[in-house]
Amino acid sequence: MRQQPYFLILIVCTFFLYGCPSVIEVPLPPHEHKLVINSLLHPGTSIKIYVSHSVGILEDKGEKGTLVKNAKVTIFEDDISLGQLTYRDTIRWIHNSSRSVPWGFYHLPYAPKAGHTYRVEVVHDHYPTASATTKIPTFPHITHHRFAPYHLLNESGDPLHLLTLRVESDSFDRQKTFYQVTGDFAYTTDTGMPDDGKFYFSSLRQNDVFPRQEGVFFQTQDESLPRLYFLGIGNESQVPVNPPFEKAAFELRTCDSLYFAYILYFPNQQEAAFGDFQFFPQEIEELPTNVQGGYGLVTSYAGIRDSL
Amino acid sequence: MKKHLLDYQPFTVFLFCFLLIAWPFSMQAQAPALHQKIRLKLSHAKLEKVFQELEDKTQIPFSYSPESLPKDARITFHCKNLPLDKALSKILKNTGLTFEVVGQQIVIYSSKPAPQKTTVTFSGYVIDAESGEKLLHASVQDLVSGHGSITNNYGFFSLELPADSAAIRVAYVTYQSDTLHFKLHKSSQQTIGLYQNYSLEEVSIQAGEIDRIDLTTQMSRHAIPIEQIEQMPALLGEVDVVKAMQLLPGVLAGQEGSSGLYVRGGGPDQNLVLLDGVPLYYVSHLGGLFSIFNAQALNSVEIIKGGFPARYGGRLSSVLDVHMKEGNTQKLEGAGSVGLLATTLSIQGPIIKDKTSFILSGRRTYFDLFSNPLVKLLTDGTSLFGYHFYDLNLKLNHRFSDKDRIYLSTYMGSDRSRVAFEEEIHNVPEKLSNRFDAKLAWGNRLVSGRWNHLWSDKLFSNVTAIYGKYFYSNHFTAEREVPSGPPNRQNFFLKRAYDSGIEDKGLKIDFDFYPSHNHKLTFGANGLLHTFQPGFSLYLLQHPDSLPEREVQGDSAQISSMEAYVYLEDHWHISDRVSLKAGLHAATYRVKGTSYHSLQPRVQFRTQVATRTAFKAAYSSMTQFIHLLTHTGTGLPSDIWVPATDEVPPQQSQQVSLGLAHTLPKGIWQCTLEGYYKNMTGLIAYRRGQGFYETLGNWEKEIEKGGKGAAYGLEFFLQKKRGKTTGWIGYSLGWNFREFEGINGGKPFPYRYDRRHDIKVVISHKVNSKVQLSGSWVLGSGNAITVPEGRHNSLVTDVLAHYSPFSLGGDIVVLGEERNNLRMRTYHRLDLSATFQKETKWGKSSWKMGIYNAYNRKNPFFYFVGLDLDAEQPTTALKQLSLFTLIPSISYSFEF
Repeated sequence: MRQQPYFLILIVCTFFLYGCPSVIEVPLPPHEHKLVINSLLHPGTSIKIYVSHSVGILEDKGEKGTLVKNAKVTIFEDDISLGQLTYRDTIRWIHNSSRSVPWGFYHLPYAPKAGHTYRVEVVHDHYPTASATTKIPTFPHITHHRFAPYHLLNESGDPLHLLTLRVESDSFDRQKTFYQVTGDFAYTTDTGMPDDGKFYFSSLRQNDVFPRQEGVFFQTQDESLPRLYFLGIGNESQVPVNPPFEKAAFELRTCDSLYFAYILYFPNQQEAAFGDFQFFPQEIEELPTNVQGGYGLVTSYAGIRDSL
Repeated sequence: MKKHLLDYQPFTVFLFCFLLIAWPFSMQAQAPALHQKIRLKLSHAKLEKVFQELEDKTQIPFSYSPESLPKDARITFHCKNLPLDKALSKILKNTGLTFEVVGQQIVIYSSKPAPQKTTVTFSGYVIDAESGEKLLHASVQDLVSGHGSITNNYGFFSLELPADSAAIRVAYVTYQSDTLHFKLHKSSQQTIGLYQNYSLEEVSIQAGEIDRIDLTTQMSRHAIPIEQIEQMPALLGEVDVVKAMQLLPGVLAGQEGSSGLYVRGGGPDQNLVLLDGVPLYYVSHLGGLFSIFNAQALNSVEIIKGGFPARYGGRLSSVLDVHMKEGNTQKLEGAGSVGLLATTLSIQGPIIKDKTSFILSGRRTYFDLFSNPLVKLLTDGTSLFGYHFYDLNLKLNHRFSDKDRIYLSTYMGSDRSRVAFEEEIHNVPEKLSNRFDAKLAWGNRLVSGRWNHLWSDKLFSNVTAIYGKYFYSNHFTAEREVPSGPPNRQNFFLKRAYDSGIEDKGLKIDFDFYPSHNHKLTFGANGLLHTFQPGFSLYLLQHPDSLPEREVQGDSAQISSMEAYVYLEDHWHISDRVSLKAGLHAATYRVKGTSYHSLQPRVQFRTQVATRTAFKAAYSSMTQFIHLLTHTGTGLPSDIWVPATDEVPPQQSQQVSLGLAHTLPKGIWQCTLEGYYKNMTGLIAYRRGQGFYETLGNWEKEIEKGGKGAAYGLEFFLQKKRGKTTGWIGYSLGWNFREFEGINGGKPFPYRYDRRHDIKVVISHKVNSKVQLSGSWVLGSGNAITVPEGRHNSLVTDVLAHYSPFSLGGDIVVLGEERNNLRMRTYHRLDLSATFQKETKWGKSSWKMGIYNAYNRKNPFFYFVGLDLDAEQPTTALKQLSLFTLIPSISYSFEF
């Protein structure tokens, strides 16, 4: 629950005093292109490493983007090489422009394991060598869960569903254990479109510091019983109000602190750097990176799925 | 190698510039006045005329009592290139008079050997002759002995004089000076009334001669008369004393339109803002656009940027001392104004003539009076949307006797907004209704009671009982009624509330003691109990068939602390040329079983280096026991005031100021040149991406502590205080850095409001008795901001597949090595106003028209990276957002 949204009133009051944004030209600090490594490792799926390069802040990426295709990408499990990854071309569907763009990643058909350490090394002729290390956390252990649909309304009037989880303490230091809950929720719809009855939710929480993102989190008196409220149905005209609940599937993940910080601060950086109206401009904060010699984040989680 | 604050080249540049500018100034200042050669031709002239002519030729003021001049003396005298002292000796020969240089003036007195003189005390108050309002910091000087004094914060003065003829000249800016001639045989007390100088013509030259900046020891102090502030151009026509202060050198506003104060490199929390002696915390309305001070209720406002008197403590960077009017003791009168934003109304008058008076003043905005009915109309009465702020000042004072007065001052003001709506949903098979109500409010409450007591002609005391409260609250309630429907739909009531604030209760006593004509002692003590509520969060969910769920966070975070100090300061006029103010402020602070003690020496020194020119130096050590946790550095109501604790030590600063003060002939123009260096320790800041909600209940461990700051610079101020045209030119050159272990890799970085050059020009011109024109122009180097140097795909883009080549969202930006690595474009703005006054049967009325940003400069508010959609191919560009383009305003004021 951040304060800034509550100053919307002030923004409205001063809106008529607002001058339109204009392009300005000022000399900016030079930027050296470096490799960018992004990856989210988790047990049970093969390894995908995304490699690209950075550009200057005003440099256009162009249609081709910044993918780096001919790099030598190697991964090590507990310092033992698992081999070199191979590049795969793919495409990505862009929702808001209804078309696809070229994409690609480096792949190794090997499923990483919880509790092990993985190091990725990327070598390319045009860029400095970059590497990053992550340790996949151990799996969480849910001892109890309960789901209560349409539990209450949030500030916008949308219904919130309550998911209550009891998690057994694991070997991680409680201060460093972070959980993310992600999943799907299904309800009955008469539109005939399969996706109309589903939506995706995602959240993050840490044991002791419970972030109040989007107003859907509440800390409980009982520290071992995390509760998650998540948004219910929107106000789409074709969907009845509070339709009968069908099914919810969720995944509880343990993740490392870098991933937690990255996801938590990512919206702040977006707003500070790219937001075109800020009544109270914010400092741009650097996001965490664990890539030596380059940028990006190689992180991991271990998750278990269940359904209700 | 790690760079330290003092390694910066600008510091050397600063010293160099200071010496370069000061050197010729001081050289010029050393010319011996009495050796200047004059040419004079007098024939049968009266002595008064002789002295007037000499004054005009030499620009040296002559002081004398007309009664002491021989009435029938006529002077005939011719000279060419004769030194002034020799010419005077010849002129005064056989008149029974002689002369002596006292301070920067020539005093004429009887040469007959005077009998052994005893000394007596002349004390009293200086007041506005029409309203009885006390005049604070008015100059009182005996022209015969040269002894002078300044009225204190209650208009009181005390002078020790020889028991003989006295010529007491009293002066106050915007008032006609007055000179009282009388013989003093015994100590006496008198209330001296001055009349406002409505004509503003240059008749108050004599006043300017005693109200001289080179004669005062205090440096780095500015006081702008409220009358002048009322004439200055203002955003939306809303008169604002804090914004007037922002037009002084060394004082920055921070962001466009803000009523924040950033003084000599300090932060918005480092200003001691006092309203009738009571400290205030957040003093802004409308997110910082306007200050809480209603000019109609104010008597005086002054700001001190350095060389802090020992009586002040608890903040590092400035003192903004605001005094409310006491109320007209003679007659009932009122004033009001109607502007685009707010309406103000004041009424004041005697309850018992000459004994008891009151002033009641209020201001309220009316946006909500339009928005609420409009939103109701548009939503069939189901919704509300409103915002307003208000201020209410009430002051009562009663004079029991010449020795005892009491005052009761109250202030309450608040910003309030409310968004509410209710809906009924008819949906087969159910019907339900939802109600939502969101309220946001912040404000101050203040009550102070004061008792002035005159123990003797030489000892004045003031006891103040203080209660102050700042609050911020953000409440939301939601309620649902479901008459029918499936069992999983329930009635419920939900309340979420967040409150924070600070409450002060205290008692202080201040003494002014005048033991002799060249000493003034001030001493006192203060005890203040702070109760901090850094953040209290309540969540309450009530279902009809179950026990309520209630969750509270931060209730244990309430912290009480005790702050106390004693101080002693002597203002010693060592000679006519040299004076010294030396004091000690000793503070102690106790919180959570931990105590902090601090000895804060304060020294100010003045020496006259030439006619009308003084060199001044000051050293101040300050300690601040509270901190402000702020996201933006701009000072928002939601920023959290937190106390120094056992884990978060207090902030401390040391400031050295050196300067020259010069009063031009006739005292109409004054100028100062000051250099300063200030270092700060114990600063705090949020860590990356943190907000108070993330640290609720645990903030002490989660913030950056032990930050350092350094600011240094040079300020030039040229002011015309009297005449039809008044105003000033201010220039400051400054550097300002911060250093935190966990920010910017531990290296120092420029503070956001590190402004290298800052020029301010303010001019008011009274065209005639009905028309007054005012204008202000500011120009400043751009604020320092962090602009990223590069960008790249994010984990969100790559792994979570949120990507669009036509938007920048999703990219991660790469910051360079340095925080605040780019300067925004130069800021400049011209504001104009014209006031048209009219005398009416019932009083006065005036229309004030103004233009904010008259030439429509699009000043940078902030920069962001966006797409230039006007280009042939959309390209990435750096974009600037501007606020407050040309804004006209009009307001109507009246007095009756």
